[in-house]
Amino acid sequence: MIDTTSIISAIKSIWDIIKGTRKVKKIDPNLLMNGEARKDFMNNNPNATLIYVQGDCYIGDKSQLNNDDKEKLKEVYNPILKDKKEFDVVYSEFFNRIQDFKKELVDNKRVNPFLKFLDYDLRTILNLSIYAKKLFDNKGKHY
Amino acid sequence: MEISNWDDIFNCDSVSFVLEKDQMEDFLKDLGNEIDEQGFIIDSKTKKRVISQDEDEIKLKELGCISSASKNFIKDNIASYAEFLAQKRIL
Repeated sequence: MIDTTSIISAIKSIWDIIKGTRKVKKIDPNLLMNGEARKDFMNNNPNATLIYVQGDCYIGDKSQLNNDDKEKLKEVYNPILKDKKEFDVVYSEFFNRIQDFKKELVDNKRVNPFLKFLDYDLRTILNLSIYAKKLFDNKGKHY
Repeated sequence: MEISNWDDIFNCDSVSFVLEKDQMEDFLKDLGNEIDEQGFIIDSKTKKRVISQDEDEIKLKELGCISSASKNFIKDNIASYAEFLAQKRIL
């Protein structure tokens, strides 16, 4: 069990070092997953931005983004330019549900040796069916 | 690759900004969108309401994710997200 107070204390000490600069620092991903701690901290520090890069979590000061950065962001999101980068802006609570969902899909693949024999559409239907059944069995509040 | 500043972040190929709702509104402005009087997300230039992944108008409070792939607005339910992944054939 992770102590919320210690989580907030840890993130605050890192934030105090980088706020007002263009630095980003790696933080414990538990800070991202603990909704109570995260909301408490983010509500008090609205410029703090959590950034998830290939399994690692970082914190940065969004107020330090300059016009060049914002133009880069616009380019990534411009459907005409079709930039190859994959940048997502995700609501924090939804992010955690997506991570749970992806983890379930990986578990599906481990338990079902038949998936590799199915074409894409059937595999997708089966995967989603397994996930939906788990939610139903657990009376899952996520949907 | 070591990441130590915002420039490094923008050089990455795959990034998720994980935000609270108020912060999402700020990011939307940076991306050329705003919120109309009824809470729907609109294009700042055309003032037209954007269309979400499931082909519906979308309010900020319903927004779960914006993906850079064609700037998809995805509602905060897993079914919409699964549909998005399936369309990209990465589910």
